[in-house]
Amino acid sequence: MFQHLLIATDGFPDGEEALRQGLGLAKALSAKVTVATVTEPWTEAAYATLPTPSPVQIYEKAAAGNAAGILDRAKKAADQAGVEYVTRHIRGQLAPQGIIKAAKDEECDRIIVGSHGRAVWVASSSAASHRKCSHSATEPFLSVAELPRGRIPC
Amino acid sequence: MYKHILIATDGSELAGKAVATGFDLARQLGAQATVVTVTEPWTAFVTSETTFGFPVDEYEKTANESASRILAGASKLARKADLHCATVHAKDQFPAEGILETANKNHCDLIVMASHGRRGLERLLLGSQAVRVLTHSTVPVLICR
Repeated sequence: MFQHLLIATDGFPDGEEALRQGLGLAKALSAKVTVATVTEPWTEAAYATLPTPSPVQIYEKAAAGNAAGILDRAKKAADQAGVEYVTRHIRGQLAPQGIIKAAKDEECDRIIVGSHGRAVWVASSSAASHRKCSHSATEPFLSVAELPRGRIPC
Repeated sequence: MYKHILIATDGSELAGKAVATGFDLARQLGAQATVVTVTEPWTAFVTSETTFGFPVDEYEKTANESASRILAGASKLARKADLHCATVHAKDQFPAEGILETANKNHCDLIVMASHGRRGLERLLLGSQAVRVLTHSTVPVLICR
């Protein structure tokens, strides 16, 4: 119980808050941490108007670069917190499924996610990934909703 | 880390997991623990026969007794865990609102609760009150399932 925390972040404010809270908790409880970031599969819809020669490779390169940046920041924060950690980039999955997969693969006993992900900024949905994740997770999860910012009620 | 943990229970088995988790966390973090149980307002939205046999004062008496029993059980568990916990009976509220108001009033910085309440339909993967607390809480929420 509270021995191995899975912290999910997409680099956006609530994800970074989840990272902060999760590292603090791990430090206080001497727990291990896996920091995961998930990148979604390429979809042609996003590139329909851009006839680029190899959009899949371009997308994947951009996604990998983005994930590496997020995980680099997480590594610095984890080093500063003095917490034992690993980082994982989960490719080609939707956020909730990717988070749950990472938690299972790494045998985490808690999941820590922000209340809103990047998608909320784009689609103005109400914490869709978070809700999907909370609906499907078999582990207890800690949802971080530290920053009230006029979110849309369910 | 967290200084004051609010643990919500309706006395159900799953809520028992939340209580155990909350106490465990409070002990490990050296945090204060408060246990809350919420009872809903009396409602006449039942058949006339039932209403006749279950007036407001009778309902309140039963609700108080039930809340006292639940909170006494939690206090006993806290004593076993060598932990001091405050207890709150939030009356005449819907569960999510009662939990959020108690957290706010007591300046709690973490809420621990179960994914489903006593009436939680298993077919719903996350209960309605847990969704409401998650949606409206301004502090982190730990959901136990």
